[in-house]
Amino acid sequence: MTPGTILLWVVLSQESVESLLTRAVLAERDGRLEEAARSYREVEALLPSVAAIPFNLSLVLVQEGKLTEALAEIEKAIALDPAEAPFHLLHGRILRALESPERAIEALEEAVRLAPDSRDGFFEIADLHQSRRELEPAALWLRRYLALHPDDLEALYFLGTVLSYGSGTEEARRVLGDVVASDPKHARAWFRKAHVEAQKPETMPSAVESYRRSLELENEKAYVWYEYGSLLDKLGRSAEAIPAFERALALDPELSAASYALGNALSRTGRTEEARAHLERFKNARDEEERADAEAKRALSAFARGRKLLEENHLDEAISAFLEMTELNPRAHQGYAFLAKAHFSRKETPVAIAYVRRAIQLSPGTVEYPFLLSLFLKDRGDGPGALDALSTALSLEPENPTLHNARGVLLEDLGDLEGAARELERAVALDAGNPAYTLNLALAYEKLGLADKAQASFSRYREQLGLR
Amino acid sequence: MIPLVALWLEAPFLLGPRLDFQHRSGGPEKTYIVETMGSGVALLDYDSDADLDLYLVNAGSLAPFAGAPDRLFRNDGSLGFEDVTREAGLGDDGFGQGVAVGDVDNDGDPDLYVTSYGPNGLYRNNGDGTFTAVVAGVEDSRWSASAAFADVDGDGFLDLYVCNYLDFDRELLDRLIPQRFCEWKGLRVNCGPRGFPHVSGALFRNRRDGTFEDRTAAAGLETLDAYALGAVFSDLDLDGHPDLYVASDSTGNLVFLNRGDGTFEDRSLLSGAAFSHAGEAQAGMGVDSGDVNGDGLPDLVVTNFSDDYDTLYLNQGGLTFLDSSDLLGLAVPTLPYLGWSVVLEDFDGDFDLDLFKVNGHVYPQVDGSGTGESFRQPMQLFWNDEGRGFREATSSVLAEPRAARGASVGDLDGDTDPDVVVSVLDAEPVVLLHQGSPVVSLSLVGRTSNRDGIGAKVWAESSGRKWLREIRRARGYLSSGEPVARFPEADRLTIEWPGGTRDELGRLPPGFHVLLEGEGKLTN
Repeated sequence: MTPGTILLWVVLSQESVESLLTRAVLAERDGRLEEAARSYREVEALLPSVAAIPFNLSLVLVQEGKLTEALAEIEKAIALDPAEAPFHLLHGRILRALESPERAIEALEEAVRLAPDSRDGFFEIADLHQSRRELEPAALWLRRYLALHPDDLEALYFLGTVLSYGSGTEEARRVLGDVVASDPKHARAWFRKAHVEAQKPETMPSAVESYRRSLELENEKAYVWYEYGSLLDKLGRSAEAIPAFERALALDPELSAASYALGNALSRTGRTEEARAHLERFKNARDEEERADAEAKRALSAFARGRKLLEENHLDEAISAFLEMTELNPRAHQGYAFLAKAHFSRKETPVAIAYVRRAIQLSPGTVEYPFLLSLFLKDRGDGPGALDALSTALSLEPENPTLHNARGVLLEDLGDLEGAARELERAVALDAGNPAYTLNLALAYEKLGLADKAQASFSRYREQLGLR
Repeated sequence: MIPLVALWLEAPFLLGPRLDFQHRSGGPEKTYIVETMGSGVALLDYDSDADLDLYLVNAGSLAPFAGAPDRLFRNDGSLGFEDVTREAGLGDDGFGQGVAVGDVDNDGDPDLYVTSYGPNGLYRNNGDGTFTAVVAGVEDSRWSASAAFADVDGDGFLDLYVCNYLDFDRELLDRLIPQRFCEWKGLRVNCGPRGFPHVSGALFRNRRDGTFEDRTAAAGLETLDAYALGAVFSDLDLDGHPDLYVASDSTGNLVFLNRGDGTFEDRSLLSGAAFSHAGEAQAGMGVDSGDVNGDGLPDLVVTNFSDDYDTLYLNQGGLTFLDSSDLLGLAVPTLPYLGWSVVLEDFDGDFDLDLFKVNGHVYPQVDGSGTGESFRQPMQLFWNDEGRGFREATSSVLAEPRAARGASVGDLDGDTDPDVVVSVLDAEPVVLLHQGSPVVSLSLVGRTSNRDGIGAKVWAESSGRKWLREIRRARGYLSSGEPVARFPEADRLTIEWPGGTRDELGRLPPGFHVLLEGEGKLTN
């Protein structure tokens, strides 16, 4: 189901809603995503029970890269209408992007359960497993889909690809052979088949033919030319390999493996000076990669040093180490988070807030960062801001008792005693053995005047501490 | 009748006698990379009684003065091995790594060079069953791995190349990485080699007066971009001078062309034998050279890390090579294992060189980790199918998992065929006795060339084909073997000595034969 069809379901009873929706759709179509999101939010306020609105808003937010907000919206949509497969599919995709693979798989399995005829859910689950090198489950999901749709060539091709990464290369070759037999113009299948065949001496001659067929259909892929040349080279056909490598490099001058292969093929055929030029290019690219790798290692070393210094309360030296880390690797979100912690320890809360915001920007799926932000904002007296940050954290981990406890305490500080009690009850339900949560709940009940409940919680608290 | 396929698959080894030797290298967790590298083994006839004795290197603990002494075992001629370490004046108790054997003074008995994490030592054979530790200018104090002797400048005396692995400073490591571990496949394992500073290998020129001089830079062998572990001298371009190939861990392997005057040209990149075919640096550990496909050119084999294949570089002439590992069927079966010592040897007596290698992981943490890998791994033997490819041969003797590291080849039981001794990390060594048919075993005695004829090329002609053997001791990883050429019965043998002399011999029966340089005939 597409967003457009879902929109048709919406009952447009008010003109303002209709014009807002039109504005949102047009803005989305024209790539004015911020405006689209704003308009959808306005519609959402007017039609809070229509699941399609948060779904569409979530799609826009995904395009904006605002994944945690998108997650909150799609979860709203699912709460309103849990039977829509596309909602669960999007939910799974967002969770995957936020690096919560287990939750993503749960969501995707629900999508598949609701829409067994759609291949999107099957493919997404298989792809997720494959990306985690879990090849057997990946193949299993594709086989399940193929049992329902045996003629789906893309699914068969996908299965062949998955199998080619594992030890079942014979089966991969057979499956990919079935794909090209059904569709001789499937260039990617010819390539993948060639790639499998090139791994064993007995199938190398077939691989040459498969590469050739692939290149006849699609001749603009640098890596296909490189692999074709590489195989010819291994088979002792260097004179034919050289033009293939040259073609690969013409298409992608950065393909350093081709520079190396071409350099060596030229060297073997006595064209030493030409060989030197290509090998020099290869060496420079390698040196650059190694330099980057060394810097990443130095960054990790600085990080470890900084953490130890922070543990020992050497704050200035710890900050220097974390700064060194972020200079070496400006995308190291852990470095910014620890800079935030160190500055917070030095009572420099505004600096801490700035650093943790940077960490959130770089890693929006890490639940610890919005939690830290909430602590810092609370310290600054910004209760509503802290509450927002905790909501973000909870959208990432809805079952995290620490977050519910923190939110309960914060709500209590802000005077929302009923809300506080609800959050603290949730924290205790999720982790009944934690005395801190029990005590906080007891205090909230006491403030609410719920003496019996407070007494029961205090009693349980004392039991937890072994005081009775 | 035994089916042919069963004969084809069965490895021809029996377990030999057990030795009273326990290797030790740090703690079981292998907290530091230096604890996981293992130690080597040498086969040498130290007492000139015509049988091979055993020198086993030991490491010990990293704590000060807690090294475990190396041991020398004397072969009584019937596979009885007696510990004669003390009588021989040996027992190096440094954190031992490798051993190279060479007759450095051309007096007819083999001398010993032991590499360590710490100063290396040269032990001169006194010719009476004893050795003397000498200060000869080869006491490299860096962390050294394999070492190899060869006459690089053609003066008739053996020079020495030493692989230095990396600059391992335990105190600095503890300060930089306080948690003392790095992550690999989600496991907490020892750190390295990447991230440690490189150190150069070293070339020591034999001054012919019992001392050596460091000629590394002058010879063009100064390198600061390798983690060198294995080295082999081989005349790769057949110009009469031993070239040098160095297996390097996680960095490109090194190929040095010997110009003939004791200096070298770095031909690593141009050679095609520095990286895999895809231009990837592999984790070079052990190395050997030999003519695998019978084209008269020495090829190269290098062992690598698990999840990567061992690389066979076929010599294409002109000091260029082609990674032919998958073409020859070596890539897939070696992929799961982390390889160390490797030797090319004719184990089935059909002229072509078979391949024997030992395996074992560097991280004990892989056991039970769900990575599908194990710390102890089987050894592997591959039959060479007349140069067309390799096929794995298995047997229960080889399949038993071990944390093997070094391997050395020589005829221990006096039946001419090649036996193998394998050193095992934190365990006893393994003696593998070969059960084959008698072959021609030719030893050389140099007169103008070095005494053992190290670097000589022996060509065997049979049924219109020519097969090449080079005389060397150092090969594999941290180890040193018997310097002989072994063939089945051949029509004719041609010997090219390192000094340029050429000898020819007619058909020889299986058995032991010794050739004196320039005589063209055999001596006792």
